[in-house]
Amino acid sequence: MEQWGIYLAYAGIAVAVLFAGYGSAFGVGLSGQAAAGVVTEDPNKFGKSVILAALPGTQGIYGFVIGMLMYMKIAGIDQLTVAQGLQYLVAGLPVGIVGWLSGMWQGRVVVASMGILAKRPEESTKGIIYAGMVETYAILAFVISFFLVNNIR
Amino acid sequence: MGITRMKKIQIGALREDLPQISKILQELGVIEVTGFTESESGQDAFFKTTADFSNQISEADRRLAEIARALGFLEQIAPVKPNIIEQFSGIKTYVTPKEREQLLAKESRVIELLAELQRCETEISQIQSERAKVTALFETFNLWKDLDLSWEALQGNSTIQIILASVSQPSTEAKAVIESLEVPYYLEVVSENQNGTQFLLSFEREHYHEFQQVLSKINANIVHLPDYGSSVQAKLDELQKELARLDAYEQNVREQVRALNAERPLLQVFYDHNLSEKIRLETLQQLVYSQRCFVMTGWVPAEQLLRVENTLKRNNIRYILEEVEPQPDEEIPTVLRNKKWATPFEYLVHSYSLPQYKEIDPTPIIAPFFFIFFGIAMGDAGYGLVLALICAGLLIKLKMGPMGRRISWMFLISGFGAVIFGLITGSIFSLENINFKLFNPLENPILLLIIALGLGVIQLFLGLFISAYATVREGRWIDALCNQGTLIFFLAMAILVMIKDAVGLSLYSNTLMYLLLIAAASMVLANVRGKKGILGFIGGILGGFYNIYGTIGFFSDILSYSRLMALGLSGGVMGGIMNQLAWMLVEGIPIVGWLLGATVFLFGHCLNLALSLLGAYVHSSRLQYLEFFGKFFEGGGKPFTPLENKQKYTFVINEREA
Repeated sequence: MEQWGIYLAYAGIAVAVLFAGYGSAFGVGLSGQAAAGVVTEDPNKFGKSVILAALPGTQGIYGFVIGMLMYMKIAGIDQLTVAQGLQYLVAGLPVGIVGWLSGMWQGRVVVASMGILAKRPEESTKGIIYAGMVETYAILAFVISFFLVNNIR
Repeated sequence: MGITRMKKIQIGALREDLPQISKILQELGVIEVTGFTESESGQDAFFKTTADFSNQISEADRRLAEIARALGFLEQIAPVKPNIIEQFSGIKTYVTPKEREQLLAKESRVIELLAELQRCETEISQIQSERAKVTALFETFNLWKDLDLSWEALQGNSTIQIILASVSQPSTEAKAVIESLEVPYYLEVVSENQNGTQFLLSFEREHYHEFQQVLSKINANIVHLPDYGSSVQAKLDELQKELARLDAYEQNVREQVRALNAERPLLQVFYDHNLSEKIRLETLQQLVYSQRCFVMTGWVPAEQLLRVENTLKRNNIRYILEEVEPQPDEEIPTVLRNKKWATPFEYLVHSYSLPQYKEIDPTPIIAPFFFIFFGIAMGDAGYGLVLALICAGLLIKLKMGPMGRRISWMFLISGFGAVIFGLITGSIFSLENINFKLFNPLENPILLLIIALGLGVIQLFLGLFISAYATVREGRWIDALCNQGTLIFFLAMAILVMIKDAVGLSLYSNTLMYLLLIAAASMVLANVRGKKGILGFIGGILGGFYNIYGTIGFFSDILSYSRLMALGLSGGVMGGIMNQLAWMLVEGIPIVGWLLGATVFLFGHCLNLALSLLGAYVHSSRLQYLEFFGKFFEGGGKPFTPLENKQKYTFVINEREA
């Protein structure tokens, strides 16, 4: 029974890294496909399409950062109470779940914005802004997860 | 400052001076020629005599197509590989004005060059079709290369007939079928593989039809080889030689094209020259003409007007130039003009939307905010310095257009924002043991959050004040007081009530509450102003309450600034992780560990720098566009598009830059 605290803390790390990473992988995958299509038509748009396609990648990083902060906190500790372990698990949830969904949706917005880049390249900054709007919620979740992790005693 | 004052002018002159005048104006590039409106062109002095430029325009089009084709052919034979920066910026050929003049003088050479390239292109396509023919022939003969009869002998004699046939079955099957005919014959398999069999069959001429029937049963294909002389092998050798000759010939022609590639700039300069010429001619169609004169009208930035007049005078041109009042509904083009330090940030406004002519240019206001936001979001002195150095390198090494220079300068300046903020928080490549920091955001994230939100409050209130100022500037200062004034009052009080304990105003909490109520009441009352009737009154009251509810949006805008803290933190933690990984390698593996550690350190920080840069740019500009511009900025201004030289392939630089 005394190991459960550690298990739960590990689960918290897994939730943060896993879901947010999945969302980013999905988003970047989707937007990468669209970017490849744009570059087929006009290889000169490589630079701008990379900027767009990289946008959904940040959720995975937020999840990773939270996971790493948790790891640094529990590294070297042998014993955690179940209550403490649960705190880790709950702290990982916001960035994990919001990162997952916002990464996927940001990927879709980027795919649509690739259309702007293909047809009206001079307006492509606006597509970047649309995609950035989705990111807001991943950032808010990251902030909360960050404070939760910071507060665990 | 801000938006340049524009003047609408009309220039009248003699038609014979038209080419010279329009070329001078194009070279200056400061006048946007517009068409005449109905009322203007209705004036009696001018009646529209059409000036037909369509022939000249289609001539320019023809030459453009010709040169574009030649350039495309050159690119196909001798492609220019873009380097990593050109992948982003596109490839341009740089010429100085002097070089350009020299190249433009070589018109006859261009015609030669075009003819030459045309000839090479035709030759290459001829060679290719020739080679396709020879290759097909070679394939045919290659199946029969072991046939040792001469072509002469293959024709048989008066009694014996020889045929060549190919079937898809193995030879044994074919033999069995022919055997079944019970007629004397001679069969020799020439070649056999998994695709089928080629064989020679000879028999007496009188049995031809029987053999034909049998052969058609097994779907045999009777082959008639063209005359190959003494032996198939000899013919094959001959074809091989022919192929080699064609290859060499094509190489030779390609070599010639590659030699001509050195003159590519000449073609590019002429392409751009023709492009500009076409634009000039198209512009001329908008003028009004009489028998001997013409009048053009358009917009000129006020400070350039004198330059236009001086240039025309210097060239001894007789002309009339007068300023005219623009029509009330006419859209005036916008040109941004800022102090040198703010100019790079015009890029941010350009990529959102230009302000309308009567609006305020937000560039000088967003420039310092972008600088600070970018600094916090990137948050590392090392990264900032690297970014600034890269941009400085680009500015020195690359000859960029005005927009490219602005972007580079913007990131160079903003890089120093990251240097400043990185020094404040003691973050240099996220290394530990840096002692001169003011505070550590990882230990005190709340302080970073407060800074971010505080900046948000400052910027958003500034936005409201600007919106009030814009209303006052239009002369509606009562509106400004009632709408923006009460809103600012209310929001300020609401924020004070929220933070009263933190800033030591808890003693005055009752006073603040009353002030907040007064502010809310004034907002509601201000909304009633100007409404008529009892229904209007009630509607105004309800609308007032709705406005108070709407201020929630203001607070969510403030919270949006927390992204600065999140970006700064995540970048910092990421960098710290890279350092740890590198250090683990250094400690864990002797000697080689240093090498591996250094690689991980370099690679990891490059990756983190790229991601931080992306995040800092996207989110710092987003805060300007959505949160800040939302408070006062309309945009939708018409960009100023002067008559000027267009350059697709070349880029004219001054002698110093070369």
